[in-house]
Amino acid sequence: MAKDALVNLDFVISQGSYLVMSGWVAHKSLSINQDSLLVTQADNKVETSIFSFQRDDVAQRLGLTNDENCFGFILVIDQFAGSIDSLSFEHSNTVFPLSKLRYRQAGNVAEILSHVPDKNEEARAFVQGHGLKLDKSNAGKAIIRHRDKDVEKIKQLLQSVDIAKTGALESLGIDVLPEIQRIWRAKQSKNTGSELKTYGGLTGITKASVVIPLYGRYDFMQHQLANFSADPFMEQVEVIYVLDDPALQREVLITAYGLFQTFKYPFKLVLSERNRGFAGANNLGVEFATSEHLLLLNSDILPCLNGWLDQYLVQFESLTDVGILGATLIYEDNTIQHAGMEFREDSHYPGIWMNHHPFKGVPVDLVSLDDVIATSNTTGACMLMKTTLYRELEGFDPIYVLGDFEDSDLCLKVINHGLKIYVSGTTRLYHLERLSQDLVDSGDWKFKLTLANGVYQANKWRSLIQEVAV
Amino acid sequence: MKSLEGKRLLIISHGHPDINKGGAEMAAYNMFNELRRYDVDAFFLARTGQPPHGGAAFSQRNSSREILFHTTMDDGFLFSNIKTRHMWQEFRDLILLIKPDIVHLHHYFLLGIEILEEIKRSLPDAKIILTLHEYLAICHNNGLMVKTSGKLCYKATARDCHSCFPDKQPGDFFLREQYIKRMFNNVDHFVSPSQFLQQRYIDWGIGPDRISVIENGQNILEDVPISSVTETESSSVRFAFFGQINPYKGIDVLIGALAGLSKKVKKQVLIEIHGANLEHQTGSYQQKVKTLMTKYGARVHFHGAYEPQEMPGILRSVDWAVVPSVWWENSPMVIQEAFNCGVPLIVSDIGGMAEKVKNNVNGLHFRHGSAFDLADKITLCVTDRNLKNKLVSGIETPLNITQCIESHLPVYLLSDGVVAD
Repeated sequence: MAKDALVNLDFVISQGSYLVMSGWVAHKSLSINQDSLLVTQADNKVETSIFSFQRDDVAQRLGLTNDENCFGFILVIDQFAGSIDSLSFEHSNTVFPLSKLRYRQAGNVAEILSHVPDKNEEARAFVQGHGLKLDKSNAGKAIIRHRDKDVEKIKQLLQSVDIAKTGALESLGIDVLPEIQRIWRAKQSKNTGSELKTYGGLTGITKASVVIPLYGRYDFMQHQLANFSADPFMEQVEVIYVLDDPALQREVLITAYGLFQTFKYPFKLVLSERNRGFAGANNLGVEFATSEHLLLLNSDILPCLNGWLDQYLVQFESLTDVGILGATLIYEDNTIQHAGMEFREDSHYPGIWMNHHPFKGVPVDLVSLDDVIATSNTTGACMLMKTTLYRELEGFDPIYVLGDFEDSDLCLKVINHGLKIYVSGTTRLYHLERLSQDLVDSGDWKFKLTLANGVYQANKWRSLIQEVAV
Repeated sequence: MKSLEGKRLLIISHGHPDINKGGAEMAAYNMFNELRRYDVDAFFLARTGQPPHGGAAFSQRNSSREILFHTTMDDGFLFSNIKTRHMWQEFRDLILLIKPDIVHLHHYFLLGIEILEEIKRSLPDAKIILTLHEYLAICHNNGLMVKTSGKLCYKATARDCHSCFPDKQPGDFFLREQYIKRMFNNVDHFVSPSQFLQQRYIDWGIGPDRISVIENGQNILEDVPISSVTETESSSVRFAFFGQINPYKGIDVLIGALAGLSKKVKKQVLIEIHGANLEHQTGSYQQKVKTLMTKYGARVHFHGAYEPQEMPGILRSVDWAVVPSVWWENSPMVIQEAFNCGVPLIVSDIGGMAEKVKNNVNGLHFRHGSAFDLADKITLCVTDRNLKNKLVSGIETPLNITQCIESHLPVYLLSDGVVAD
């Protein structure tokens, strides 16, 4: 059984005789507050002052229902002597030696404050009240998101499903899917506003429009623009970023302006009033596309070579029956992330098809890829197609809750339309996906959601998938 | 210096030695002063963290040729500075005003690495030279190429760097490398003070023809100091440490070496610590050093900070200089300074230290991080008093600041097809 009492230490910094620590404390069933947290050194209680605040992100991650199950803290110890590892935290009768906790050294006290979600002024006053110096810092404020009530509802609906039972898929499809799609649809219909910002002017006819959604990691924009600005071909390309993360608007506007001033590379930025998800963000971006050719690209993709898009477009033009041309995507260690996808019937849940990536993780040099590979399915991380086709097919279907299968769904629409899906073996791009966290356990609600979305795709396209699946 | 006639130079440093006395800052400033001595049209721009006059990005220090740039990075991972207008407006205006023909940067750290892009875009014809002083572009761990576990690092890979910093993904390290290399593409030529550092950057991806080795130049001393220490078989032998006190400088290895000495030898050994900034270190490191000092108090003298001009005088009073760093170093200032004063060194057997000090020629090597091996070398120095004289005779006069500038001329004038005398 997992432990109910938890402590996480985020940052530690020592300044003069002060030791400052920040982190969070949680208990899965008991109510706790800042008095619950003790610090000991060699079994003696250490004098501390604690500033506490809400950590919705932690509560959400741990699935805590009560706000009193969790709090964030900044803790100051004056006249600290000895090794940090000689300290222990203690709460709810559980001891947490610091030598066993993983934490980061903060660069300065301001960095610790930048991770406090609310009550910033109070937090600042708290540390300054202890005589701690605050170095001037340009560090942006860390973004901590609040709970999304719709997502919480969807999560609760899914938690009630036992997917180990026989007939679980039918139950998901009949009892749960309509309700979560109803919540999702209602969410989609709210706050549909957007705003276009233009940085620099594009002159003449562009060779392609590249639509790139941004969520969370907006720094990817910096890497891509630094790269694009060094590639002469990209001067003829219209880049459209879609910020699908309203919480980041201020930071992104500051960054976008600075990037344009630094690299002088023109681009468009569409600000969405709400988080639309992958499908909705792409659909919004395509509304602003003016080129004949459309490239849907993820923000964590970086080209390997200059002139890549020129070659990619030439290849696209050489194929008469092409609907979508995907690309070969590789990890930073030059192994394959994507070289086409297959519909593969799930071995545990027959009747739904998962997207399988052949050769995933294999050194790209070991696989002899044809220049153009015919496939049934390609990833939404990189899709080259005609803008008119995308519009005619109404783009990605936004009904897949929290995003799943919208890329395979679009491929099926294209095939249904009489065109083909290919992947370029010669256009190779880096795709810098995160390392997988923990292996998904089958009770996880996200996994159930994937199954539910899979049920939807199977119901929508069963006969066509059976035709094209291997 | 004739070949620099009609050329305007801008030397850029991440700090002004009036305020920060790091090796890179000193190297940059010494070059500026030497250029000015020859009436070369040179300017010095140094970054500072001091508060400016309301809203100003610049201020002047000493003369209108020495400008402080009040800015700081907004991203310590990429060394990026794009969010404020400091780089793409204030700095742009300044370089368009000064219009240098040659810009020689001794760093991008704290300034913002986009400074390279800005110079290239604003002054496309200016020659951009960058001197590398440590491994910051390669290594996120303060540019040390030491793993966060304390082990020496031989090669950075995205996956290994992620192991050192689990919060950052391998993809992030890949992007960091790509970004820095993208900015480095603006540089016409790189300078490295050591072959060791040059090789690390070549291995990382800088073309061998794009990076030259030029040692930092030493000031010419007016009277060549002669060691005034009296030599009798029982007098104390003084071993001195110079520089910042931080966990990578290995001061704990040096003091710890006392534990490996016999009683008889220990009585003849004095460890002199000339260093600063212990108070800025983490509490546990301060504690460690203080505990060692208390334990060996009688044999360890702590002198605190010193001014650069005091250095020859201090060196005159010691027998050996010790560089016990547990990171690779590049070209530690103290090595050239000690040679300039005729003092032999005991150094860790790695990186720039092993390169600059030749074992048994002008100094001794000991196994890096090993207090006991250092103790053996100290014992050797105490029991064989002739060893010092033998190694002193192996010392060659280091490159002086005039020669250092002369060595830079071919780099400065590369595209003009001019070869320096």
